[in-house]
Amino acid sequence: MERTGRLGTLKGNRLEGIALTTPGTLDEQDRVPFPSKKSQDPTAPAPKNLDPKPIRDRMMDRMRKVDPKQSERYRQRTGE
Amino acid sequence: MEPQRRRDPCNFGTGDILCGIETEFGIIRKDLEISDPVLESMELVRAYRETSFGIWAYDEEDPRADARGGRAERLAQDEEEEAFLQTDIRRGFSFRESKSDRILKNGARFYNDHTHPEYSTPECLTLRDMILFDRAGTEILREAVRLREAVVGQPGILGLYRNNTDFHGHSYGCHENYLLPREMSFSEIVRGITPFLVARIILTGAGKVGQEGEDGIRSDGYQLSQRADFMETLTGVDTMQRRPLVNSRDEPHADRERYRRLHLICGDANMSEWQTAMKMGMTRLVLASLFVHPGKVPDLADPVAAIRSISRSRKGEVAVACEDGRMMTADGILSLYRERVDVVVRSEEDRWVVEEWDRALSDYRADSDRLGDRVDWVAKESLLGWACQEQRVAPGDPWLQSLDLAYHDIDPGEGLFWPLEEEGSMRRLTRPEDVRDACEHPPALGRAPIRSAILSRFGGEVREAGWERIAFSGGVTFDLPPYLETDAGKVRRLLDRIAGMDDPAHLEAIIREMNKEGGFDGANR
Repeated sequence: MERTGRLGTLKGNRLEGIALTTPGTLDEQDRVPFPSKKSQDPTAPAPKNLDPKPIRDRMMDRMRKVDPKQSERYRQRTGE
Repeated sequence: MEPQRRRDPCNFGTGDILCGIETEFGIIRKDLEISDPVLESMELVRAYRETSFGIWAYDEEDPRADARGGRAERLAQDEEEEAFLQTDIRRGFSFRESKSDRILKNGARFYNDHTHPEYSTPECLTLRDMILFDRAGTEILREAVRLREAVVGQPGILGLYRNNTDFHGHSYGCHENYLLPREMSFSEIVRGITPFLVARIILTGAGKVGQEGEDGIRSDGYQLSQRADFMETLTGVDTMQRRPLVNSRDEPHADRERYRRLHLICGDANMSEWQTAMKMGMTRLVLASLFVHPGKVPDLADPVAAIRSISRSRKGEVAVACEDGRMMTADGILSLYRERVDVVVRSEEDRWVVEEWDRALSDYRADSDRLGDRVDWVAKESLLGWACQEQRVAPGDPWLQSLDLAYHDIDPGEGLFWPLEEEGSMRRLTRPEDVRDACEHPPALGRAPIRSAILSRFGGEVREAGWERIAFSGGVTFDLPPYLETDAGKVRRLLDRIAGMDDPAHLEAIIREMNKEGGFDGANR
């Protein structure tokens, strides 16, 4: 498989200013497609991702601002 | 019809399956008691006019073509659709005006579909592109909101939601598309993939407060999936009523002698990038494994009942009945599929998917709360738990459904998902700078960059364009095969040639000339 980095800017009257880059291709130093986590010990306690107080306080502040009646007013037509 | 000859499966893998996602967004005017979704959706898309090309080739579309054979006389939604069309015509909108189709610079399609703004990613060949261009869609919708609100002169009036329900029985979709070899028969695909689609919601569900569907509407309770309530049959060509787990629409948007497009409408719209990556990644692996090794999988006794049962059970832990009498849990079914896909793991991306698949199943079995940094239904349930603890709300309180809705609000200043991602409580897979690129530029592989380059070079001479064809006003038509085997270097050389062209009539000759080097005949392995 050929590996590529950034593509250059296309030249030409109609393409001026449009850079056809390759946002999806993997750079040489970035072969693992996504950040990955190490395996967890299945007997370890569950991570408390949402437990730290700062994020909980921030989320409660945001949740209190949500209009309780918003879902009752929210009406959509059937889509696909 | 059964396949006549199966191509050599030895080299077939996920990299041969072009894919894409279509997402319909919910839309409201927050400043009005009653919104007009037709007008709002149309005007939102049209606000994006200056940055895109817009004359869509509707004659490519045939939603009544049925992969089970023939063509449906009518769709279940025809009556409702006709009524909506007549209403829109009375308001002065033509069909094209109502659709307001745009082909964006990044190769995506952006339009008003059934009163919902819909963003369809460009066709992607890598999972990384898939996630980038899907995330770019959210950014593009945000920009469209900004432009539309600027026209109205009132910031903050529009609400856009990446979800699948209005909690009153109306659903809208997040559809997945996978381009497969035609020799995979539709019946073979349905049989092979159905148990997987039912079971995958424990890892791909977006979470929902309440219950909808043909068995009634309730505002209490919590379930894993937003779409499970709306699945009513195993297969069918309909998409708005009698929704099927496996849609049989036979509209490949490519040579139908060689390809079929699997159009799945049962999935949720996820906020979590990890879930979108895994939904597409696992499904591509399962499809590739079905092609390479079409062996037996456990048939579910009643797949529609099973997906609802899993979705509505606590943590999705209920066992569902197989035709052979066995009872299986969703994680058990996913484990069987996980073992099957080993034969098609070839790329770094494939390895990432199976490692994450193993880890997610292990975490789910140990304690599903472990998935709270990746899975919407788990994260949302935690937020709702905090709200219930602190505000002492009763089950069925409308605030809980409002919080559910707010989780999917794409506004970074109001949506409940975004602080979780920003603080690192939810994993993010894309880099913001790559997403910005993906808003402006197409993928490097497949036909999307070629379509974009042609539209950029000859936009003024194009009569209409679609996924598989570009028609020029002079009468020339240029077909766009999937270009599955073409590498990025060859695509770049073609783009250079297109940029220097004077006449679109020369496109075919250039492709023929370049094909002497190989790789531009659109052939699959």
